[in-house]
Parts: sequence; C-alpha cells; structure tokens
Amino acid sequence: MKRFLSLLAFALASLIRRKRRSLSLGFGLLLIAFLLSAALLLHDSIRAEYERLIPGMAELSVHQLRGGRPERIAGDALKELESHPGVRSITPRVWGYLYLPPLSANLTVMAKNGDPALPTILDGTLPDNEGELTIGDRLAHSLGLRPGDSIALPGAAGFQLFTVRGVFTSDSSLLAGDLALFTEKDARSLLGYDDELYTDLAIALSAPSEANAIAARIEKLLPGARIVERSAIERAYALSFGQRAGFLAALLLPILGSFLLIAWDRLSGSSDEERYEAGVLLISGWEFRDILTFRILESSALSGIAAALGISLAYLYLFIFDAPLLADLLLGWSSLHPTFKLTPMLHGSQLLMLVAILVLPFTAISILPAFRSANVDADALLRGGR
Amino acid sequence: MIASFRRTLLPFFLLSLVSIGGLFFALIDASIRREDERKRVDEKRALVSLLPSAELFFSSSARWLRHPSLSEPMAPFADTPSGFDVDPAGALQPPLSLHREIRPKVQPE
Amino acid sequence: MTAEKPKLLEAEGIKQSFVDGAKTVEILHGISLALDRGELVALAGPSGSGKSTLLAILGGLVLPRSGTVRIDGVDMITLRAHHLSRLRREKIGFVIQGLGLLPAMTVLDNIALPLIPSGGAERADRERLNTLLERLEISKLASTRIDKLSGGERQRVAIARALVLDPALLLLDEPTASLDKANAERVLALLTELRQSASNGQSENRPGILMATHDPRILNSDAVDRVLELREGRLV
Repeated sequence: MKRFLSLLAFALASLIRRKRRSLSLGFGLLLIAFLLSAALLLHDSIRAEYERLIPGMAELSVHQLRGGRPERIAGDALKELESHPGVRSITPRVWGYLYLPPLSANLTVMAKNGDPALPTILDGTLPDNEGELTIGDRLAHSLGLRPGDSIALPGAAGFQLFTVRGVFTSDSSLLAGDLALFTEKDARSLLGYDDELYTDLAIALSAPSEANAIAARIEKLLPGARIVERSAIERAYALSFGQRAGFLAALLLPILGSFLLIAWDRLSGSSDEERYEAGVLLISGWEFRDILTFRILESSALSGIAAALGISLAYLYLFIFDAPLLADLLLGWSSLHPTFKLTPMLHGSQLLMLVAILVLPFTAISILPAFRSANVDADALLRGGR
Repeated sequence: MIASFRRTLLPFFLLSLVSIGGLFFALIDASIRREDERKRVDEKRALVSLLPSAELFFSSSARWLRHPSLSEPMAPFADTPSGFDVDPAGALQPPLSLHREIRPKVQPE
Repeated sequence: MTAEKPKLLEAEGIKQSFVDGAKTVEILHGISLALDRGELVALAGPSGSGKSTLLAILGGLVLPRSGTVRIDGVDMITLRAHHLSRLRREKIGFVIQGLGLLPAMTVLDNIALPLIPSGGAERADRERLNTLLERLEISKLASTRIDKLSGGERQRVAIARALVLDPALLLLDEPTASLDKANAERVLALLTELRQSASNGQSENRPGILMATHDPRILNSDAVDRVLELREGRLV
C-alpha cells in the first residue's frame, strides 16, 4: 500500500511537472469524454422515451392511399372487423396540419378522441365544447397564450375564434409542443373536412400477437392501404436508437481519439522525455514493474479525471442546461422549438462502463512504449544519450 | 513522502473531488428525474393514445406519422408512400417498406 | 578454519561486444578485477576504451556476454530481474556521466528518487537526507530546480542520490569531467571522506568506490588507492 501511494504521489507530481502536456492531453480526453457521453446519454434517453411511450399507441393505424398519396378514410371502412375477437376497438380520427404564417410553423390539429385525466402534464382541461382548444406548451409560448385567453385561427372557412381551456406543460413538450386539440366539429371546420371522412383509423387489439392476422384482413378489405403496425415502429426506433449502434460508437470514438492524442503527444517529443526519465529511474534503483506501475497510474489518473469531468459536463449540458446547440441540430429549425426535456437513463453500471471505455484504451496505449524500452533506456542513458 | 509531493497532491485531490462529485450528482439527479418521470408516464401514454402516434418532436418525421417538416429548410424528403423514414438518419440503413405483399396462396393438389 | 569473507566486488572474465551492422565488435576482452570496502580505485583509460560499459556491467545495469560479477559473494549475472533490481538498489550507487538528473524536479526530489518504490521518505529517512545534504553542501539548494544549478552543484546532487540508500559500492563515471579545479577537488575530497568513514561509524560498512576517469587530477591524487588502466578492452 505504501509503495502504491508513493508511486501514485510520484505519478501525480509527474503530471504537474509536465503541466502543458498534462493540460493538453487532459483537455483532449475531456473533449472525447464529453462528446461520447453526450452521444450515448442522449441516445439512451431518446430510446427510453420511445420505449416508454409507444405502448400508448394503437397497435394498428390504417391510412387510405390513392395513387400512393394519403387520402381520407370512411369511418366504417373496417366495420366488418369490429366484431372480430382480436379487435378491441376501431377509432376513426380526425387530424391534420394548419400552417400559421406569423409563426412559420405547422400546428398539429387534432380532434379529441378520448378524455383521460392528465393532472401533471396539463394545466387546465381538454376542450369540451365548440370554440375551445387545448394547446401545447410551445404554441402557447410562441403566441403568449394562457388558459382563458382567446385566439383566432385561420381555418378552411376563414378565421375562427377559440378560447384556451388548457395548456400542456413543458414535460410533454416533445410529444405535444405543437398540438392543438379541438372538438371534432371544430377540427373538421378548421381543416376543411366537411364530410364524414376521417384522417385515419386507430385499431386497438385484444392481444398484440393478433396484429399480423388483423393486418392481413385489412389488406383484403382495403387494398393498397397503409397499415402502420406499432411493432414496426418499435423496430425502426430500435434500429435508429438501438444499443448496437450506440455501442459501436462507444468503442470507436475513445480508441480513435486516444490514438490521435497519443500520436500527437509522441510527435511532440514526449517519448524521448519519457525514455530519459525511465533510464534515470532504472539507474536510481527502480525496477521495471515500478516504472510500469508509475506510468499506469499517471495515465489512468489523467484519463480518469478527464473522463469523470467530461461525463459530468455532458450530463449537465444535456439534462440541466437542455442541450443548447445540440437540441437545435436534433430538433431542426422548427420555429416552435420544443423544450428539450429528456429523462436521463444513467445508471451506476453504465457510468462504470463509460469510465472504463475512456480510461482503459488511453492507459493501454500510453504504456505500450514502456514495455519495449526498459533495458534500452538505461543503456542509452549510460552511453551519454542526453 | 517528500514535502513537495504533498503540495502537488492537493490540486489533484480537489480535482478528483470535483469530478467524482460531478458523477455522483449525475447519478443521483438521474435517479430523481427517472422517479419523477415514472409518475408521469401513465399520463403521457394516455396523451399518446389521443395523438396520431408516439412520434417525438424531432426533425424530418414523416408527414403521415406526425410533425411534418414544413418549417425546416434542411429536412430531407421524408414523405414517400412506402417509406418509413422515421429518423433523419434513415439514409444509413435501407428503408423499411410498410407495404405488405399479398402473397398468393399455393393450393395443395 | 574461518572462511574468507568475500570481497565487496569481484569480476571475472567479463567479455562484452556489440553488433555493428554485420560485424560483431568486441569491447571488453575478459576483464577481471576486485574491490573491497574502503577502497577508492580509479579506472583509467582513453575515450572509447570501454570504461562506461564496464561500469554499467559492474553496476548490474547491463548483462555481459560472459563472465561473472559478484557483490558480497552474490553472482549478479545469475539473479532474476527482480532480485537483481533489489540488489542494485540495496548495494550499488551509480553516478553516470550525464548525471541522470530530472531537470524539472528539485534537488530533494531527485535525491529521494531511490526511496519512492519502497514507500517514500520516512521521518528517519528525512533526517538522513538532511545530513546527506549538509555533507555535500547542498542543503540550501534542497528546493531548487536542477536546471537552475551549476555543474558542480549538479554533480554533488547526483552523488547524493547515489548515496541515499547507503550503498556498499559506489560507481562513478567521469565525476569530474566537466568541473573546474575547485569543484573537482571538492568532489575528490568528498569521495575521500566517504571511503574513510561510514554513515554509522563502523569500518566494515565503508563503501568501496570505483571511478572511471581520465582526469589526471584524480589519477595523480594520493586519495586514490589504485589505478586500473583499461586499454582497448583489456586491463594492463
């Protein structure tokens, strides 16, 4: 233990002695740690968000297509399926988009098709009567609206006046930031759907395993219809945000980054310095394993601190400061700009893995030269090398 | 240990405290936020059931899923009939076709 | 009949060569020598005669092609790396020609280098360190960086480091090469004093000192007990 502490103190002193090098390498490592952690944490959060929310989606959604373009669908288009034991309900839905020129933004206009209690994510209530609407937080923010305020919206039949009954909180911003919920009559009026047709049909199943069979039936009833299966969406999200992609990035970035940093370090002459130092230590009675321990401690102290700081900064950046700039990249230039509130999925084991991914490659690559040069160092030194 | 070594240990000790403290903060904060989210998840799922999909407000979602990209000048062209371009990075993988092929059943003789 | 106590240093038949392209060049052709505690021996010879190589072999830093080197009866050549390192640390102090100091470190930190793998300087060690610094007249420079010292001061620091673990054998390679008269005499006086007295006053613990040098000031000095002449890899 004493030996270990003594070598550790020497390693830390060595880092301070070579301040410029330590700061440069440390900063480089911190940057790698920051980027990697930010990418992985973001990745995991988005994936977890989808995994949490997807169960709320209908198992099947059916869109009518004509000429490959979406068309509206009759509410009873799948009346035959209503009695199917695998089908729990078929809900026709009215929804569409309304462009607001002053905001250069699209609203999602939706007819309310349920009345769930939403005490923590809704400030107010859902619309009960004509002339009422409930809006998302970004819309409210952009238009400066609060429950009780009024707004005129440019519908298909001209401007219509509405009173705000409720505003969704920023916790649901990523889901409902651009949402405007109305009664069905108001939604139809705004969108110009003045017939009995619907935007799509949402089908709830008694068991998700029924999806294939029901989908096959629907294909027969509505040839060419687009059937959106929840499981297919889950698969698509898994591919995009799945663990495989994340893991690969996790391995590549720190290894590549470490190589580049070390290459730069070596090119700037630190290997000569280290060889001289190793020779001096050998002459001073150090064993090769002492020198190796010292180098391992030096590299892992530097990379460990850089990793810990990088990860902490990434966390702060993503979840405390809501990822400025990065959020813009991800969310695009939507002028409604949702509040970037994701839930961090950081656990102890994941943290350890992150630290290991950052520290181990750097330390291993740093000490490779030490293995080769132990004897050469002393001899070269004795021959008057430096 | 030689006195000068002790002097150098102090900045490292402080730096380690800050960095490990940062990690602990992240762990604890994440745990608290997850707990808060757990309380909201049922409501959020209920909200999803009111909406066309569970699609989050990210750029370039397909128009028929939600969140169209009218206001995004840099959006790739996501609106294809058989396309399933949920994610803007869809170019990295082949698109999943939503159209199910109706395979003719082979009748046994 | 009492067994004869082995000499501090006994080298027999040391041969060394190195490979230069396709040729093998012999540097040392079967060197044998002995040194006892309390002796101050000079190893003389022109540049390129193999003095540094011989010292490196005697100091256990380099293995010879053949031959034996015994320190207090223990054959260094046959020892495993770990034991050899321990023997070197406990019994041998080495001052190389380039001094081998770390320029960005202080005098005290450089001198304390040999102490680190065994846990650093304990209180008793620190008292001994202070005594050593006083003896070498570098106490005031303890917190000074090496790159701020003169040649003579650096030489004394290098000697102090070699002495910190109270070695039985002190090997020095050209200790006065870049020193002026005053500093050279100082070093010689120091070495003379060293070989005359041990740190704990017991005569059996006086170090044996072997110096490679071609400095006539040392070779002609009365302080030197013997001069071994090395010419073209042979002792004449």
